[in-house]
Amino acid sequence: MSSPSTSDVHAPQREHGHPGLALDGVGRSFGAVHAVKDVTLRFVAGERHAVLGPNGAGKTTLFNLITGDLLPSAGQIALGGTDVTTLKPHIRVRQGLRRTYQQSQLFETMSVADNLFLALRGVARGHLTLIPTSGDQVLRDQAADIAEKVNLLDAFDYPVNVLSYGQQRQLEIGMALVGDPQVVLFDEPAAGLSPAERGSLVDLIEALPRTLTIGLVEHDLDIALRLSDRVTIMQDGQVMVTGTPDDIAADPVVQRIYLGAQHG
Amino acid sequence: MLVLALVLIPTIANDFFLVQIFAQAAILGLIALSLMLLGGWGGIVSLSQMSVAGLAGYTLAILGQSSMSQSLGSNSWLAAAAALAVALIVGFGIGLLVGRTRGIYTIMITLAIGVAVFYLANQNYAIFNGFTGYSGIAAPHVLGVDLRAPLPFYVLCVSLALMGWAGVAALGRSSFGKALIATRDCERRAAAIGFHVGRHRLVAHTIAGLLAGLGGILLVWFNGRISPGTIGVGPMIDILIIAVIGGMSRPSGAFLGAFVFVLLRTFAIDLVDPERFNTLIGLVFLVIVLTSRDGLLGLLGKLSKPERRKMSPRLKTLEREETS
Ligand SMILES: Nc1ncnc2c1ncn2[C@@H]1O[C@H](COP(=O)(O)OP(=O)(O)OP(=O)(O)O)[C@@H](O)[C@H]1O
Ligand SMILES: [Mg+2]
Repeated sequence: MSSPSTSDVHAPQREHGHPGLALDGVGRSFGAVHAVKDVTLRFVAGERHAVLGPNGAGKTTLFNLITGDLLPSAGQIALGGTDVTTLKPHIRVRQGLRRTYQQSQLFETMSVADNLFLALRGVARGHLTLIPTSGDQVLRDQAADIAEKVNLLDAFDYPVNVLSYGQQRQLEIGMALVGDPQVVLFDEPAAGLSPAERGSLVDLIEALPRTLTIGLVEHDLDIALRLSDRVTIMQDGQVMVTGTPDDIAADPVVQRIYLGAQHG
Repeated sequence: MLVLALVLIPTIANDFFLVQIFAQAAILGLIALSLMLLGGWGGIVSLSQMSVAGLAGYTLAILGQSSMSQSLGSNSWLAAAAALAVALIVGFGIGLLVGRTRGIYTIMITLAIGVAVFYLANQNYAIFNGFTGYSGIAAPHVLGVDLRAPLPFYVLCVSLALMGWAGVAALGRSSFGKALIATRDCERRAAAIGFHVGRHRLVAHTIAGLLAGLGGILLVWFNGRISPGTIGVGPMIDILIIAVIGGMSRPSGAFLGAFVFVLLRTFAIDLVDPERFNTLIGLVFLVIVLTSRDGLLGLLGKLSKPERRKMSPRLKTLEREETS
């Protein structure tokens, strides 16, 4: 455990150049399927890092491993300098980790307000408060701020199951922006959105604070390259190449495996 | 309005109605309320809530006064407090046991727990007095008033039911209650936004234990006795039927269901012979389940606003544009 990469892992998160998120030899298999294989990757604090690759490349599985939705079968994951490999998802959230899901995971019967309220409560104290309190109003106000940010103020008091698909995707994003996030992982946030909705999504992500570490899985290559400082290409569960958007756009391997799969 | 009605009822209803219908519905409603909290909001269908009530009832009988020599004869209020504590602990214990299970497995395990408690009570003579159980259990007197006299018992049961109702309703608006509903809607997201889902469920089981225990104590005072028959599979299923008939989305459903259940059970004898009660309640159950997704609450909802559909905000925007 004395390799240079592990000393990186334990460095403080906010120091420039040190990883906000570090994966070392991370792997996960489902039976015979190696969804993620020996992935070593850094999400440096404050960087916007796109993870691209064809369907089934293991992008979502990688995010699930980072958030603790799945446990890795191999390797270590460190968040802000702390080893979180075996921690439960609700513990990792306390370290500022947030995510959106490729397939919306929302509280269907509850209102937009309550969904956001709960997301805020989840990262605050008072989980076991058994009666409504005056403090709830503070969180409700904050929920309204986030709803405004993701364009859902009109739908604030409507249950999720009457929202349009696009609105549900916006809420999915709002859920990940609550509290004081350090690392936010977006899993195909633009999938299924109209061009106009995509535009405002891009604006929203671009306007997020630069101190925030962002992981982004996105099939829309233009959006991905535009939003990111660094790009990693995955295939068959493995990292093929990591580089700047310009490098990636020019990389012959990418042309072949990714762009080929997309446009060919 | 409801409270006013409940205050006025004693002026028109006779003792039979006060006790056999209203008090009994309040008692069964409290036990069903515990299932409504677990099942309706937590998505945890537990069949053993009647067993929790029963264990509280047994505690009351064993520690308090009855005509059985096994009873320790301590003060009724102390015995009741101990019974509540037992219910709390049993609820917590059941929560620990079923915490990691979901859906049909939770139902099976809580059924097994209930059956085990039944056989334990039936076969253990040292503590539970076996098949006979305990009888001659009197409710305490307050300021010379016998709490089991019709009017005081009505007041006691109905006020505790109202408190339980109000308490659970407040719980549903609290951070805990909303997060409990969230764990039912999407457990994965609930964890992903920072909630300890297991702990939430455990607390829900414990609170449900308290409610069921309260019902169990009143039930023993109501019957004056408790025996394994009180907590058999039949009564366990009755609680489920009550909760489903009434509707599990809100606390009022539990009492609505209990009221209808008690009315049917009391007056079915006049319509069909007592043996057929289960057929009758089964039919009612079937009709309600097939016509409404949320029991009588759902039916009432449909009746009160048949035309109004939940409108999506998008539709609403369109409508606004049209009218402007
Ligand atoms: N829970 C699971 N059980 C079994 N296999 C799984 C599971 N999750 C993912 N896989 C498999 O792992 C591989 C990687 O899937 P993953 O969802 O991570 O890909 P992805 O890159 O996100 O793909 P997409 O672009 O389609 O979202 C696939 O072969 C998939 O079938
Ligand atoms: Mg995916």
